[in-house]
Amino acid sequence: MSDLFHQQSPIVQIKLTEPKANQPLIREIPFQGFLNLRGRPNNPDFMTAVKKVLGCSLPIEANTVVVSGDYKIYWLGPDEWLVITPTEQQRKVQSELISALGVIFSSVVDNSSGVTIINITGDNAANLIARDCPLDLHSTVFKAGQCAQTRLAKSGAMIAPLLDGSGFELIIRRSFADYLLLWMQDALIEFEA
Amino acid sequence: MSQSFRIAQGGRIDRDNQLKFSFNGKTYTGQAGDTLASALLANGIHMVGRSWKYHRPRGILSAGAEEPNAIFQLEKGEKTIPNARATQVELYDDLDASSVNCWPSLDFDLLSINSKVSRMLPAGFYYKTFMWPKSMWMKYEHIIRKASGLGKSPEVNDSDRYEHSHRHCDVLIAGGGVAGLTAALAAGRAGARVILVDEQSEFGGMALSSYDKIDGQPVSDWIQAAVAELQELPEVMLLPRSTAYGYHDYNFLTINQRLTDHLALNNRKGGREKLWHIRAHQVVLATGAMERPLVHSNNDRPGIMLASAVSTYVNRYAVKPGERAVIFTNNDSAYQTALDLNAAGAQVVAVVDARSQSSSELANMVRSAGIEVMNSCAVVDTSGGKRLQSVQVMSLSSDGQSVSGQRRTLSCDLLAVSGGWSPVVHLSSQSGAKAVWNEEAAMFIPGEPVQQQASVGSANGTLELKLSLIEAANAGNAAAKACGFDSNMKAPQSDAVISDPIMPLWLVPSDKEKGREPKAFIDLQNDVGSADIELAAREGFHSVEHVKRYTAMGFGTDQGKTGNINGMGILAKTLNQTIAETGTTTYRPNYTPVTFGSMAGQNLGSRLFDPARKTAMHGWHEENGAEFEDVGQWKRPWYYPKAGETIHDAVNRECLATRNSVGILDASTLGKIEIKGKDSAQFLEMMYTNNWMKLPVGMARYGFMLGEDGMVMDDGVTIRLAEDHFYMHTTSGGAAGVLSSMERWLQTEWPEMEVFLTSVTDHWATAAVVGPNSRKVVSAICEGIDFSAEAFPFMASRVGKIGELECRINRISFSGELAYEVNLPANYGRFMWEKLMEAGAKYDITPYGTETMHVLRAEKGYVIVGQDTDGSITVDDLGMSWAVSKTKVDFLGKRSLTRPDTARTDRKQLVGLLTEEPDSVLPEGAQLVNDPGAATPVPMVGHVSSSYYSACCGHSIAMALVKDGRRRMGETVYAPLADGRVLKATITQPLFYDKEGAKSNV
Amino acid sequence: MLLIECPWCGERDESEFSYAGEAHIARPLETEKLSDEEWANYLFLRKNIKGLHREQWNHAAGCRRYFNVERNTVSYKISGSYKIGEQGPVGDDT
Repeated sequence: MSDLFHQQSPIVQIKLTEPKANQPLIREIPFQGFLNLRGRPNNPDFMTAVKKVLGCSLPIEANTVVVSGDYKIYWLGPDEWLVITPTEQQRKVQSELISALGVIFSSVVDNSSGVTIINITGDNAANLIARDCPLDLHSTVFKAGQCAQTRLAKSGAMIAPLLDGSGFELIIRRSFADYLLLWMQDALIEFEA
Repeated sequence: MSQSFRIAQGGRIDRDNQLKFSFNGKTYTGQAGDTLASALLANGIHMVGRSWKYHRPRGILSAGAEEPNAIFQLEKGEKTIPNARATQVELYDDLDASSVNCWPSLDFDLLSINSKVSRMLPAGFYYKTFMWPKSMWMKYEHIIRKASGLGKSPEVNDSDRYEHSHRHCDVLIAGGGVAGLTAALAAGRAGARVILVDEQSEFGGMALSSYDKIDGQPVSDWIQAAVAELQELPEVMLLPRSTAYGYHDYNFLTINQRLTDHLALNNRKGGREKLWHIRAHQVVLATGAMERPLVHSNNDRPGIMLASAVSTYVNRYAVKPGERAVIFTNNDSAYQTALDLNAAGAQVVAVVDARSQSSSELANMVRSAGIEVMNSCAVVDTSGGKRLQSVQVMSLSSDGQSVSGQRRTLSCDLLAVSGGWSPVVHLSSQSGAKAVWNEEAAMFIPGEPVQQQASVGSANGTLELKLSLIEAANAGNAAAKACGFDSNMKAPQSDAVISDPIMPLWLVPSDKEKGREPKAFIDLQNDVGSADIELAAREGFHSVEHVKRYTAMGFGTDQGKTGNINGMGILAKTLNQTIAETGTTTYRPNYTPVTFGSMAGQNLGSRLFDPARKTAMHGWHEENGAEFEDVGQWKRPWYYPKAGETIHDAVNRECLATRNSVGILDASTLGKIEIKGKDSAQFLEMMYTNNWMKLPVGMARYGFMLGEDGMVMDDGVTIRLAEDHFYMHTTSGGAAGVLSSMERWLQTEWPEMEVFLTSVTDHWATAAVVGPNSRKVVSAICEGIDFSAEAFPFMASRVGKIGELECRINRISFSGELAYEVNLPANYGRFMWEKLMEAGAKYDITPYGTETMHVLRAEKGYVIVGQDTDGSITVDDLGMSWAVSKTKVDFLGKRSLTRPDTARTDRKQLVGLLTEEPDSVLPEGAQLVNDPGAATPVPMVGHVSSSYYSACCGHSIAMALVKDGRRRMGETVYAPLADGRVLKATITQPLFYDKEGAKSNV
Repeated sequence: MLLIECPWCGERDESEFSYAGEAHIARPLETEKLSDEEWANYLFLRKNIKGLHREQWNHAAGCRRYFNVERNTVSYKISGSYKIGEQGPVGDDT
């Protein structure tokens, strides 16, 4: 779709640099489809309808992630999930969910421009985040398949270990993205030497 | 080298690495491995400052964190550090230090006259003298601060960087002496995540100054092996040069690590300090113990030191603090100091022991070395000026209450004192465990833990090495086990040592008449003497906390680490009660002072002190010269000045352009919440004061939200997207609060309601296109919508397309003009904005900021929640009762509207104000009075809430909240201003422009 | 800094939460029938307990759920967290 060309990332004013010395690598994965999905997990109709569209059951264990083909589904709360799709599939998934759910008590809301993904990889990925995040990021405690919404600096983030163990995926709000990236770039200085 | 007091062999200093440093402008040398204190002593310098009240010469007392006297200003300018403890400052090349409390110089101190008139400066002197008359305190304070005070505040910005980090661990161990190392080995070997924290550059603590043996090897070898093993354990983190200074709830500890202070200035790289926030499952406190001084007349002369500090200087730093030493003690440990000094070649004149006998192995070794031991004796006085010259010894009664016999003068340049040991219970006490007095050992020991925590070794009152190691191993094992690790390490072995018991001695009696005896100091940093404590007790201060505040005992940078306990002992005796009954003052964070830099970390400056939230169009605003205003955390364009324009010029131009043609405002910051579910309308009925059930799909309505107290909390326009689907706008600042408040009602009060809320504030970019030409601009870029007045009326919402993108257009107005809010997902926000600018070019579309927005809405009398309201204003006060349903059974805050005070008809009400001088703009916040000439206090009848110059009206306009204002139309009020002017204004309706509302109705 | 157990997310740092006041204050159903005094009771009067206190917290930076905590206001010891509508723990008053 040609209109994709007009998109601008929330961190358009940030220049990401190549890591020096022990600095972790910070990269944005821009322009994904983000759907905020709400419904009652104890309603089998809701769970079935969603499964039909996404191809997997919604994660009902708190703070876990389920991957289904191109889709990733994050637990946000006991009746709330974040569905991440490739950009071009967001509309399709959204309308399929809405029509599959019909009158079932639920909500499917596009938030694709509301958040973005920042991947932090490398030896000091956890140390960079831990500069101002109260979550225990240790690999024995926080493992691939888990996710957590938490405080990051003076904002917040959804944090999940990357499946390959190379670092972390952060999902951050658009309006705070510029601040958080400035914070991260400043934090990188510690690992410069 | 001129370090004439350096011992030829031994110590842990690097003899090949000589360093230069300057002290009070003179250059000296020291060695790598020295502290500033040990380097000064190596050069024979004891006197390092003057006391703050009497300006008496003071010398280095200790070798650690407890130091009250050797407090220096390090370096100058952007690197300056006030109040550094020389005993903890690692020497580096070209270090620059100066004494903090002497003026004009250390040797010649003008204010030492205070010492001569000390009887005129009793406890509470400053309060008693200078607090009256109260109005003069500010003047006195200025002079007192200059004469006393410690270090100087830096006058330029600190150029250093400060890091922060959070960590979690299984076992945190505070204190890296042999006990801490043992506990760390026990937990670490079992595989637990261990953090070991120690304030010194090397692990080992006091043992670095001793010749003890552990597991048959010299203790220094054992320490080296232990540290090497811990370094290899992957889950163990060692934090040297780190002070655990705060122990908070739920095993949350704050630790300050000094990263570069030990390096020469030009070798420093990276952050200066790092503040660790650590949450531990288990905490082991191995913080050691501090030796206490003894309180006798003139016990503050340079050359009087703690005995253990003397041993540390001799053994660890290879420095002889004196050539002729007297030891004064009430316990066994100082006998070791006698042996250490003897071995270093100093003459030990005598060991003066308050106890009637001392027959331990250690005491006998001292006797065997030919050193005189004087039992049942006490040092009652000393002489000397800037350095100790002699001490006077007398016989002491067995109860320690009186002295008798002849004064015997012992010539000496060093008096090493030991009044026993105080476990460092600070962290344990901070954790909530109340320190307990142990009568037998004469010390406060940690109380029963209230968190997952244990104290070990001398921090627990276990002074003997052998027992300390057992305790530490047990605690390390237990902590690891509590975290699920199998841990059974055996304690390292050490020989048992049998000591004679201590004889508590809080105040050495004087042979002089009561009240005429020379000063005996308890708190050297604050110049608090024993007589001050006695005076405080006589004046009725019995609580130890009150005595502390009255005398200043335990204030200052050292927080009374050495002296407090003696003060409590003296207070107990004066009040004729036990120390247990007297109790201890409360230990609070911070254990030692922490720099503001460390606390702030990198949360500094305009970028990182507080998040700046930015809209998708932020870059455009910057590129087009916008000045920004903070709205909550948002950065919003305030106005867009053109070359040479003042804010007033720009705002006048923006207002006229908008009213006459078309303007454009970035409205993305408004809160946006999707509300979905079959009970959504019912839910809105509760949240808002007006009716929502019958709002047609595709239409919008303005509503007020109240708190349950009936006061306006937020306002905004909500659109019905479908029967069961709404789209709510909140104020920019209120978005988060409104969402969590609505969630709260749904989750806690009405869980049966089928309503889901989702914030989409960040997803949508919104441009408000405003003015008579707005229809032409918006319709030019947006397809699929009939923009005619009939098809797309005021307060309607339509979906169309901009190119291939679905957009939502809301015909809403916050200006009284024809206006449309255009919404696209924020990734396309800038694209949308530029399209609108392009389409508007032929109408000279004018971007405007919040200032113009405020003027336009004030011209129409539209309120801003949080500016025209302040949490005490009802909808009726705003004159907008039409927005409150009379028919609804209930909504939040409804019941409060009939409370007597809310229902009063003479409350402060929103009115308009027109100034007598059309160009005078009332300051917002100005108080209003009916008669400025009335006797003070002049009754205030209200205040100005919004005020601007209106270019469209050609005069200033204001909104105000005035008592009974609606009944006072046409009356006059006055605003007396801070500059003496009094502005006169007439009360009007709060509506100044297009009073018929014709302009939006097109 | 408290360590608060969110009934869904487990133990998290206090800085992720916001406090929401005393728990178990039900909104009266027929508010118009209440006397001014009864309404004021609901609106303003809180127990301000020294000891075991039931209070609402919101996991604001996490799952955004409201829940109840029983906390000792003297020792700050939390005896348990529970979901809205559940029975709370019976904490000891120490």
